[in-house]
Amino acid sequence: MNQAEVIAQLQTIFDNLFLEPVVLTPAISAKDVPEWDSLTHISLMVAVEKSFGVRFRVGEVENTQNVGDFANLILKRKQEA
Amino acid sequence: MNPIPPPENHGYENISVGMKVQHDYAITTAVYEYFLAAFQDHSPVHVDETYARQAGFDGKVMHGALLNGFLSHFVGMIFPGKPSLLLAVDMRFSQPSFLGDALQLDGTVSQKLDSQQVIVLDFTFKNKTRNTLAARGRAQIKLRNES
Repeated sequence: MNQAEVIAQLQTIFDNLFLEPVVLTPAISAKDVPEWDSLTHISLMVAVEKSFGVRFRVGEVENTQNVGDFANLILKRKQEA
Repeated sequence: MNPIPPPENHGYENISVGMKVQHDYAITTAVYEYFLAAFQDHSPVHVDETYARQAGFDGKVMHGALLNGFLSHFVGMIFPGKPSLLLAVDMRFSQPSFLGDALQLDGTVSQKLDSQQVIVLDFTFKNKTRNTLAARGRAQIKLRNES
């Protein structure tokens, strides 16, 4: 699995979760999406951990800068799983 | 009115995926009338027995949102209890309930999110009076750390 494939899988999760359509790119981040607030973020983490079969550590997702970084973190955690 | 017992207190670390907790509820006249008084949803299917029967129901249909109230009690008082903060609820109503019906809430922890101290609770409301499924759903609950 590579970053583009992770983002494609993330796109499906976003499509199911967000009311307004969000087109994911590696550069997009939470500050670009008004609906991506702290509560939606938790729902997103619930869906991502389940979909990818990964577990994140405290603070590491919040430390990513954009969706590309986030996808790389998912890849890293998948390799460890 | 009986005194309200203090909430249970299940911390995040003591909760595991697969845990099951059950609690019984009843749609009493008091629950129904307090709900009507608080929220003023007097739609005839909820308050007019004749209208509801003509519409094909066995009587006045109880508001589905009553079950949200029971779920709120379950999360805040039973499981996990005191440290709970309800973040999200997705509830699908299956079959109607009626005044006086007895319900059983079954909750199962389906996921834990360590990075956020959040649990996902899958739940069903079984109508024990009518042997039907009243609703099913999923809730996200944050467990606060208390100092």
